Amino acid sequence: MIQDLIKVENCVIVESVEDWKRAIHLALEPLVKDGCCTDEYEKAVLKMTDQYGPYYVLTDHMALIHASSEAGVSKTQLACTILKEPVAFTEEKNDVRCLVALCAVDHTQHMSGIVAVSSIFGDEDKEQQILASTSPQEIYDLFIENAEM
Amino acid sequence: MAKIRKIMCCCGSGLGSSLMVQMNIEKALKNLGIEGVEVDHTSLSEISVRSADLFVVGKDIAPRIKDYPRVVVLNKIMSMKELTEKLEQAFAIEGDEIHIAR
Repeated sequence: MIQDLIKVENCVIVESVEDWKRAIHLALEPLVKDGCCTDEYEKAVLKMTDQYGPYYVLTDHMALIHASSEAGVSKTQLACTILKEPVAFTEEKNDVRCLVALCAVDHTQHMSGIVAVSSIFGDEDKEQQILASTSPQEIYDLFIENAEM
Repeated sequence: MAKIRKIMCCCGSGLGSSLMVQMNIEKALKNLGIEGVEVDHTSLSEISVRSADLFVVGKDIAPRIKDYPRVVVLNKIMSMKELTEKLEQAFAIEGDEIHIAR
């Protein structure tokens, strides 16, 4: 159930970030605070970034910040941070404004979360809608509305 | 038509884009009227060339499986249009090797 995967408190709107590392830290912060994962998870994301590049930038404007399930994860959960000013992960991937953080205990429990991410960011209108959110509730509602296949 | 019974979607973690692509492939195959194909997702570290008949990956990790004989590479990982076109091409190939990247 999508309601078990995301909380209004974990939807955040932020003015800007210094750089992509800070963006990753900020995106994962709600999940760490909630005890869903530890700091190890952030380290795992950074380590995988060294290996693959920013593999989590999935559209021009969205990054799905995640690592594998082994890296200090105790509960499957999502968080969403909207940046009013874009952050650059590389020269090409320089217009990211939405950070969806995901930690997952296995390969399937977060299915409805991925359905939501896929239907919001696979649709330009919906993507613009989430980027224009002015409150955490708006972000949360979009996830809930779009979690059905 | 190329015999493709199992498609494996792979990404670095095995739970982000690979799961998304799996769901999109299932949708695309339905739209294309292709049946009897198993689709799964996993991480790069868990696959071997024998894991599936066709591998679908994003362009970021494509270099890691460049020696595999049957690979579809997606430039825009979330694009249903690109995915559907490339799957259609893959299933239409007569020979044993499938390399669809552009």
